[in-house]
Amino acid sequence: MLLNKWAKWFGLVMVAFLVGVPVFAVSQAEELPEYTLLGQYKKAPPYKIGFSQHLSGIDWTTQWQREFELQAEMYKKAGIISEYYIVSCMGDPSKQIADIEDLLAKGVDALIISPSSPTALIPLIDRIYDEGKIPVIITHAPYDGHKYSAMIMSDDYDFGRKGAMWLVEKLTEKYGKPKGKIIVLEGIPGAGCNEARWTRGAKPIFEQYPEIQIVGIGAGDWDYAKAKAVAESLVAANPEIDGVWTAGGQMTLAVLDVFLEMGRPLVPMVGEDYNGLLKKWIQYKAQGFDTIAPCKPTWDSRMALDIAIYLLRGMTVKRYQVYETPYITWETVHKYVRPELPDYIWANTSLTDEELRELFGLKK
Amino acid sequence: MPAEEIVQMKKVSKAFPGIQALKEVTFSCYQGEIHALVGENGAGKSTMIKILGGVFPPDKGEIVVKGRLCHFKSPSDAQRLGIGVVHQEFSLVPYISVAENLFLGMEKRYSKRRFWFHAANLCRRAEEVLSSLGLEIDPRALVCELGPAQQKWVEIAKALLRKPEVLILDEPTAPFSNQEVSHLFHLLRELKREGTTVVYISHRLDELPQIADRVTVLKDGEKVGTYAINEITEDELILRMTGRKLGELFPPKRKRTRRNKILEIRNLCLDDILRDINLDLYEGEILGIGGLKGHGQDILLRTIFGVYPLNRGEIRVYGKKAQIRSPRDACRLGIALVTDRKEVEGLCMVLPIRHNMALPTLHQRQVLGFIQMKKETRDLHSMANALAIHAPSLGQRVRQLSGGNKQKVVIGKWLLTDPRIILAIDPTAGIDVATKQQLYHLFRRLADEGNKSIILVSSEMKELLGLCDRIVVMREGGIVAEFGSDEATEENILRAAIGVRR
Amino acid sequence: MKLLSRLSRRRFVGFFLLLGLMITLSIELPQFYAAQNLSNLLLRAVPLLCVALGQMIVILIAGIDLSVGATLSLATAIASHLMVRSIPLAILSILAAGMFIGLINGLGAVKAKINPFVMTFGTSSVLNGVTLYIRPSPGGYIPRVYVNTILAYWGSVPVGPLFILCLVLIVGFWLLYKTTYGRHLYAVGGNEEAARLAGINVAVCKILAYIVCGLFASLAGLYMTARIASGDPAVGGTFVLDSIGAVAVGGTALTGGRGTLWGTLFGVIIFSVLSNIFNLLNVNIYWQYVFKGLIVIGVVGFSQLKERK
Repeated sequence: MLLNKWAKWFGLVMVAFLVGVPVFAVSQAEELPEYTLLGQYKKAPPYKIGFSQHLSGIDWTTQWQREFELQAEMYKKAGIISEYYIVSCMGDPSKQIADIEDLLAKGVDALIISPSSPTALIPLIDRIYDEGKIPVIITHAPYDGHKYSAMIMSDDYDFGRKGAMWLVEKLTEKYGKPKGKIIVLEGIPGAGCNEARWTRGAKPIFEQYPEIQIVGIGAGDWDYAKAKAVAESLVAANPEIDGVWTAGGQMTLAVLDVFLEMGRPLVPMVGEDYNGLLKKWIQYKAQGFDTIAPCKPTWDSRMALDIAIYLLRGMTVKRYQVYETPYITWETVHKYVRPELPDYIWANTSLTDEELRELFGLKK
Repeated sequence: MPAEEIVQMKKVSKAFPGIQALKEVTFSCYQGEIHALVGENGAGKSTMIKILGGVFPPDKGEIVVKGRLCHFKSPSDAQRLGIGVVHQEFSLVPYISVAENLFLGMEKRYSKRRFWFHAANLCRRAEEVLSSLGLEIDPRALVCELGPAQQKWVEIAKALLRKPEVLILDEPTAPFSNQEVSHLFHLLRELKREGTTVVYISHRLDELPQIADRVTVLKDGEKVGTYAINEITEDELILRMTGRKLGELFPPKRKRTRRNKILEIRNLCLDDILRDINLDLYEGEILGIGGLKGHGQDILLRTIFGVYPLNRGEIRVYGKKAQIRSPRDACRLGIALVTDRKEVEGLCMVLPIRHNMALPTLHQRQVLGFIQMKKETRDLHSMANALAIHAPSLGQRVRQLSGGNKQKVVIGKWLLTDPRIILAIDPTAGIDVATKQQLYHLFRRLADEGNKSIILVSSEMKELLGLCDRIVVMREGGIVAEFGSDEATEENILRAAIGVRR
Repeated sequence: MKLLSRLSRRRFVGFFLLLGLMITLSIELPQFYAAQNLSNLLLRAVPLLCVALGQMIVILIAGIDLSVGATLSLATAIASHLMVRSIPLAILSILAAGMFIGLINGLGAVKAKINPFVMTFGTSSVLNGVTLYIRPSPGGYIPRVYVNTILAYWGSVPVGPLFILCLVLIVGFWLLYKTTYGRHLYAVGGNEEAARLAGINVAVCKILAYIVCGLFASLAGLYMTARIASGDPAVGGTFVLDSIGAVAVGGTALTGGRGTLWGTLFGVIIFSVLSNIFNLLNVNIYWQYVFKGLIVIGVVGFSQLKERK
């Protein structure tokens, strides 16, 4: 009786909605080309470029963002770019969706995105791609979608695998066969980068060799302090350690420092191109310390911008450009290390000493 | 008049949203007098003393203290000029000790060290102060552990500690027993002898001749006049306060034959607060419970209402054993509770009249959980009219109502439940005379015409004698005497209450 | 005119602030009113509104729920596993999970008398762990049908989110203002003792508040599932403080008993509009945080000031 008319109408509308809408929803699978079409996104300069970052405020992203800015300024001087916008979502995927929508609202001509989640952006990016008005370039971080104009980044899976293979080689040198006890430091469990480097990259390699035992595993969040605390307990718990694998960042330096403080014999440890680590490598090489430094080059961002410009000028590019991870070995370390600069510089960068000093506010 | 005027207010006005609280009030006080301030609730007394105490500034007008024009920005400005106020509202810090409350804000004056005060020292000082006032209160006790009367004493002691030249008391005697009232009067007379001026606000007009020198009457934010106390009678005062002649304060009682028992209480015990209570209540009866304060009267009613769980004994309603484990159960049985602590137990102060009044009866006006607003509005309006609640609309927040109207909202909300038994604990405390009269007549009407049964706990003897059909007296948690309305006298009741045998 | 005076009398100072902001924007930042931007705003306001409404109900009874973010993340994680099998099953189990979490919060906070701050912080941590266990990294598959239904467009108008927004507002309005339960909420928050003495079952009322909050959080999770078309253990993170902030900006007293649906809607709009405007104005992310904080403090402080007068 008094289940009043409001409620009735409300129910009706709701039912109509639930029944009606899915009818319009059509899903389709389509074959995507290997190359973009010639002139697909062609436009007359100057362009407005939008860059949506997954994170900012740590030393690596600072360098990476500066490379982008320098490149963009260069284009600006040449009159090719009129404006560029950088927004950062600080690791929050829902904010990144909002950020990208805002960039679209500002009418950018090309979007460069470093995804904060491999999946969260898929519906949005798919929609932009399907509209076909502006190119979307994915860079830096793993992305599970398929609809993008170009993807340019180094391969984190390769990163993990290269380090692991190097470590296996070192163990083989020591024992005559792949054997020994190692400890492992993950980054942030659940983060895409960690999944690629450890779960899909390094872990399967170690699993191939039953005589390689992982005696300790911890998560160091790519952070020096956290990694050091974790490493202290791992190292103390294991009197015998033949090697160390870390997911990179500042963690290898932390483990090395723990070994030095505890007076333990130095063993091979997989690293990254962290300047502090490179400096210590040179210092302790004679005492048996060895490492390999796979790199996440900070000039990724420049290449992403270049590709955006190519596309806007109407050129054709290869859509999938995930390149092998470059790495620094003992033979090349002297070319990369920056002995004059502080520990927190990432060595595989195209920034000069001068530019880095300015960026981090260092006096000569 | 010989003495000088120590405090003057000249044409002071103050408005709050929707109300002109004070209209050009002029008021003055001589040094060393006890000046009473009377008026109905909402007449502007509290506003006036809050302006004097520096709680808020006047919109217009001047305040002159000892011949100097003053602009108080905060209560501490007023304190510095020697004005001490004991507000009607509770204004102590509940979770610290009595001693710390007494010296709050003036620790430095009583301690040599700058930052750390000496707790033992403080307690000793506090004990001195309290005993000099003739009070037996442990200075180490937390304020929240004290009863309301003792809390009021602490507030008075706190004000006196600051050696005010003008002491303002806003209804200090509300929680007091007769003994305590006379003790307070004794103190005030001593203060007067020392030259302190006292501004005294009270609803108990019969107290005034014992204590006051002059009396100022306020009505609707305006001053009616100032009179020497011996030149005016209580009736004249009431006439000036209300602007009309008050009829008979208490309604006439009717002789009646006893009807059905509605409530039977058998051997009810609660720890050692209530001991073996046996009590019957009949339909259409007003039963009074008298006795000195703190002898378990209010706790008995709260226990019946399910606030406290009973240890032993049983309660029967209409002869059937009732399981009352919570107020919810009591409500279901048609029991209502009206108390003096309406702000704490009766109302949600931040909510409007509508929400408050409809609360216990919401389920009667709902379909599938949805409230039938029209019906609610109709019901509430008719109840508000029946009780003569003065408010612009049902949307008015109860916080802004006067004490009498607040209590009417509480009563209204219970009457809507159509209760069979109404439990009332000092329902008229802090309420002006005119509203009191209305409530008395209402109670009588409910009993006679509505056939409701009422249990009334009151600390006012007049109320018990004037309203109740039957009076029982409680002492130390037990019932010690019972009087029919013709045998009850003030003396009888008092004797029973303090345990003197005839 | 009457409305205007009511607005100014109430604690809706913020409303005029918003109005002023809107007018300024229309002059300074015409892109703001572009259809696309407005629909963007709508898209992102929906989940925050859901969560904030639940949060407000808990805050009305003088509680707080820090587990809304974790509930939301868990909802997306569950969806990313179950949606493939059956969409209705997934929806039902997610809503049930939200209510169950609310029940646990409520029992802990009300029956066991654990401070709600501590209790919900605890459940939040537990839920984070569970979410990471069932979905350690973002991913999973959400059927297109579901995504396209929730995010249905009619031309360029996002009718799906619009519908959900209206649904949430109507349900919220009915719950708070038209039902006996709404009245009980305000009464319990306004004066618990008085409510108890009026025969209300206070414990049940409070526990229900947490359950409703959990339900709304999981509803927001269902929406976010469509928006990110996957499960993501990190997606709920910012919703906890944002929801509390939006509720506070909307004039709800954190001590309980006072607060309006419109106030909360206003708070949500402020929060959604802010980041949008900042992005449109090219404000650096660090400064965005600073301004957001200052604006929250400013709006709440200003309405307090007004209140006192």
